[in-house]
Amino acid sequence: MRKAVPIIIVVVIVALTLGLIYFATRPRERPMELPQPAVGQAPVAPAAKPEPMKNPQGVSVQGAEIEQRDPAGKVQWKVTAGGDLEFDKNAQMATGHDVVFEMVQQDQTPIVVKASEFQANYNSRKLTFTKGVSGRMTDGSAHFTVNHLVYDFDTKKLTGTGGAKFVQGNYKAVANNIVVDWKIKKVRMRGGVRFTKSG
Amino acid sequence: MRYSILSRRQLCLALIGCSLLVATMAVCQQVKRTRTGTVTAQTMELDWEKNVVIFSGNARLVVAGDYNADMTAPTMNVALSQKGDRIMSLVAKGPVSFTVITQPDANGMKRKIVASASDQATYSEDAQQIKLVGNAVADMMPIGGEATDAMHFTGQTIVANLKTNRLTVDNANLTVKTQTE
Repeated sequence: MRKAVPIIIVVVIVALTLGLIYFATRPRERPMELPQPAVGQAPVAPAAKPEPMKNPQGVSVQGAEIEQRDPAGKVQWKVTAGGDLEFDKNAQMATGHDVVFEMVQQDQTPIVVKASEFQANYNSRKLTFTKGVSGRMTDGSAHFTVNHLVYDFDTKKLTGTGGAKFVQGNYKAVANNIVVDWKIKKVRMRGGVRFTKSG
Repeated sequence: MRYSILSRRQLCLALIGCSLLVATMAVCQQVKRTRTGTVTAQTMELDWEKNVVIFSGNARLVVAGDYNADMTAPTMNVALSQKGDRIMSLVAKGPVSFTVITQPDANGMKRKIVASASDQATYSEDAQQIKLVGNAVADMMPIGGEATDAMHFTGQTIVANLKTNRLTVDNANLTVKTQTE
């Protein structure tokens, strides 16, 4: 038994040393940095300590979700990402993958857009969707696909370019560009429009 | 054993029934007439609340099916049904021109109508008629068959009924050209 004591002490010392090395060198999770809350204003210097937004106006990034509220605090749109949403504070840009964009108007969600790639630019106040972009009216009346889609915070218009296709019932329209304006409930297509009805 | 033979008979009857059903469906599919309409233009604006579509910039309507029609105009306004699944009417504005190959009449004869108007043309899906307004001009000539008569119409308005292959002309002038072989 006495012969075993030094061996036990050595094992304990080695284990403690390895534990200290592990805790000293392990990767630490960095806390998520929040964007500046005021949307539309020039980016301001980052706060000393990131805090959750107190002002309901503006944009909040919470995990894999971004939302925009109007001055009354009502949600105007929301983007949910399949993975993380990354925010670059200096560039005032958020990027994400496999996103779902929900436009909210009068407590309804009339249009939902899905895309593989997403970018929100708070300087230009635009959301950009690329790769596999598709949208649908939630009442089931119509759906569309396009190569590249931009949502403007101010005009609340969706502007798509390249390979636009709009389907309503048994009507199909293809064109180079598409603009979906929910405010006046109109869809405009430009450039080589081809509108087909079958049946 | 007797039970097994009955099952086979039932199986045979079921197969025959299915074959008849499939054959009937195939015949029905062939009898069903389909018509495809295509509009091409530079721009299209859809008002999804009013179910109205406005085409502008070299608008062209091509209808293919039991008859063939081709209409061109600077702008075309299309009114869709409330569900948005049917064209209720089409109004083409500006100088309008159209060509129609009618469906065969009782004698199996098709006719070609080439027409134009300075003001507008309206197309009604339900009535299957095209109405030309303003200095309307139409030439109707038979395609195939033995008759070689060609007719030239001018008037303030011309209505072409695509169901009955009939032209109605207001304030009309009619010229008939007869070719003899």
